[in-house]
Amino acid sequence: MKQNRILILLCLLGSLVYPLVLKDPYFMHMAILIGIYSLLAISINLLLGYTGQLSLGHAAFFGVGAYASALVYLNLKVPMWGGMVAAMAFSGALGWIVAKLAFKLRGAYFVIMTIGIAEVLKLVALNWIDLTKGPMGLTDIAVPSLSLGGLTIDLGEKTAYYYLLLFMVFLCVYLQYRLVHSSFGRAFISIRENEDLAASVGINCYKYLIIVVVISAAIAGMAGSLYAHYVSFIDPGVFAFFISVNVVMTVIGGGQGTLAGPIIGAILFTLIPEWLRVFGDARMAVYAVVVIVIVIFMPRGILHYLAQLAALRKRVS
Amino acid sequence: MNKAILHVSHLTVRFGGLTAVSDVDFSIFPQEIVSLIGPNGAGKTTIFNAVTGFIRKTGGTVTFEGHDLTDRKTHEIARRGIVRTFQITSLFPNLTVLDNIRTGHHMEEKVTLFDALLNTRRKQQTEEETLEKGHEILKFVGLEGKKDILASNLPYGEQRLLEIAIALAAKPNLLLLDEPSAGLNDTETQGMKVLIGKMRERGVTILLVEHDMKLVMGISDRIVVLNFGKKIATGTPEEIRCNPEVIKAYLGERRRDVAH
Amino acid sequence: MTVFLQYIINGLIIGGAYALIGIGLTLVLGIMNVVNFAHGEMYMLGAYFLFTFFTRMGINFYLAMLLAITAVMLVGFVYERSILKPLRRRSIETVMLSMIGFSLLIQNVAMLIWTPVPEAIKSPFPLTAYTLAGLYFLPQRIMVICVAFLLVILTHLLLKKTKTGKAMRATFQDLEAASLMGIRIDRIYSFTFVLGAGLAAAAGTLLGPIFTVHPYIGNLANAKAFVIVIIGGMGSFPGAITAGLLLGVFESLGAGYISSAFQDAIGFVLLILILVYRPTGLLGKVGQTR
Repeated sequence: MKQNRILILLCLLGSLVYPLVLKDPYFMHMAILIGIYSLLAISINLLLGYTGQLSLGHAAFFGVGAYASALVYLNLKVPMWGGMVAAMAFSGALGWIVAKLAFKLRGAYFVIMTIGIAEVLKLVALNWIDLTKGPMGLTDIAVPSLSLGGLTIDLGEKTAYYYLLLFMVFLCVYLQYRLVHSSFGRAFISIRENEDLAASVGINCYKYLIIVVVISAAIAGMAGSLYAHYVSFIDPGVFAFFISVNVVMTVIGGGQGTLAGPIIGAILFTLIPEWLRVFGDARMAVYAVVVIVIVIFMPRGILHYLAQLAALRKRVS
Repeated sequence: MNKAILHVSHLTVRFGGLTAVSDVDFSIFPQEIVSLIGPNGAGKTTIFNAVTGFIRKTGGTVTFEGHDLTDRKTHEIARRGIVRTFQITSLFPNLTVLDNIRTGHHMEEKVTLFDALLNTRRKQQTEEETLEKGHEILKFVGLEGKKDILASNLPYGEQRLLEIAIALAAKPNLLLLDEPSAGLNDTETQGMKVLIGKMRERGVTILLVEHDMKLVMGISDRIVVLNFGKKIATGTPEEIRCNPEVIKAYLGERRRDVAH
Repeated sequence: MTVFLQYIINGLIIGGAYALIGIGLTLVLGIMNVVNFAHGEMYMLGAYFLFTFFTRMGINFYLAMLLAITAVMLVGFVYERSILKPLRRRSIETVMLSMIGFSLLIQNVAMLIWTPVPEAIKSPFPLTAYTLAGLYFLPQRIMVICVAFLLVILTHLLLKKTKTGKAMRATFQDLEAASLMGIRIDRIYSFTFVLGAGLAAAAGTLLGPIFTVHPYIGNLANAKAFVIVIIGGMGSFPGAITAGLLLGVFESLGAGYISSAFQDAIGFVLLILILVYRPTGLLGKVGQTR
């Protein structure tokens, strides 16, 4: 549809000129966080939206990515790019392990397995002090400079880091698009829709489940790496259940199984916890209410819900 | 003499204390249409499930085109050319009719992850081929007007057609149809009969489980009759019609149809 | 040797309380098929109500326990009627996520009511332990094991001997058949949930005086409850007891011989192992994992 294309183009342009318009470091900070959550959202969207498997332990992949990247930088002095590769490799490997372990499990059992894994990793991060410095966390995870020809860009600058993140998000959105519109995407969806039928037409559901979990994990790991180098300090809190829940909410609130949903959801669920600060101590209680309302009343996403309301109103008037 | 393409030998399936299928043998020859009939609970769908790897066999072997498929998983068996439909309507509900069929074509799409992500020539070609094949099958089963409708929104009769379309997309050599005419009215059943004949002409061998005797008698080359998990008779429709064992098994059930 | 036995004893005692939470959850999971992530909050509320009634209001300890359990059962009843019932038709993801939402909500409301400052419930029993064969038995802990044992027996009798119990078991085995037999499923569900909440709350009142009380203890209790249910098998009463005791013992041995950090991890590690090798649990039926 022509309208959609124009809308997408506008969003693209908007995101490109955003830093030039809104220079306030706070807005830049929010934009970067949105970028990181977008990656996580795409990661969960592949697993939940398309393949139909709910993971409430994605913080495991995020956290492993963050720690892998940080440790590789701090101990091996590898610049951030190496860290990102390491992050994706380790998270991807963990994803492979999880998929192998959970291969028989679906539904609630799969969810519980993912929660368990995130918790175990959190405990490992807390207690393997020699490696992770435990609750003290890892600090001074610096951000590199990018040298292209004679031009050196200091990525420590929020603006520069924003563009880096924007690039990664564009890349992942593109990859998600390509994946979904291919036989892989159709295989993933067939798992969600009807596994028995999928098997009867020759789709090896187990194999595709592994593939989607590994890809999903690798993207989450990449997000973890980008996070670590941005905030330059990480602690076992990267494995927090809240992150796993919030990431799932981005996809549910934004619209699961769609291409734009993750981005919309990321914007919402990065900003919502911020906006809720006005409630002070009651902040998490209100967040809980938001989760409940969206999950129960808007399971196909906020936009879908609003569109339905609009259609309803049109019909009535 | 044509060599059998499917050979089921001494097939036995036990669940806990119940023997659902007991020492059943039968063979199917290329481009035959064979019907598997028997009273409810005779074990027909269990045999389908066993042959296609949905349940574990307690004993016996299944050989197809020379390959031993006894312990293979469902998707591997599909790769060898055996595709089945299900007794209860089984579709990809949230996909369009066309996408349902395209998904069924999966095995023919030899695309690597690399191809998919980079949108290589090979991938684009594959997508075109799948689309073409999808349209062709739509036409073949008579659903071309419905290609963009969600599968869950189709009327029941057309959903059953879609199931067959999906199975055809998987390019089966042997198609197992589980009660294809269940819930269909007379016109739809007639349409199904024609479709099955057309499929045979395309080179597909067909094994069906059916309760509609008129359809069975009208379309089968051979019939295998089961009762209480055992094979009690096999032969042409004429032979089966007059077989006293078969009549006894069906006594009280559609006796009129059998004796016609 | 004595040290080893002491760890076992301690583990069995805590395990007894764990078994209560586990039984509550396994009944809810098995009979109602609801993945209730808010189960742990019943435990937390049990502890907090005991704190309010006993420590703050000075009511007699046993009476306070009873009141606390009753209060939580009331909360459970309201929860089941107003929230779980309407959600019955929804997808499993919706149910799970909304349970998490409610769990978060209850935790944070509790935090607003009682403040996040951890509280201690001073046990009314003397702090000197009894000794027997070189082993130490704290009075509070003796009470824990006695009450836990009593409640397990009572629940068992309820399930086996009463009409309601039979109805519950029937519903667990075959929902359709049970409803066709005239069993009021709605009532059974409410009863089951309230029972489950009560058992969790009881565990909360028993362990409250032993560990500190703060709004997030429900998380840990919840995690342990799920570990127990999965290890023991969903819907398996003996499974929940066995798994509860096992968990208590393993944690105790782990904390004693390895480290206290290991204590929390052991539950999750066992959980993962069971999910990989025998997802239907040690005593559960072999079958569905979807």
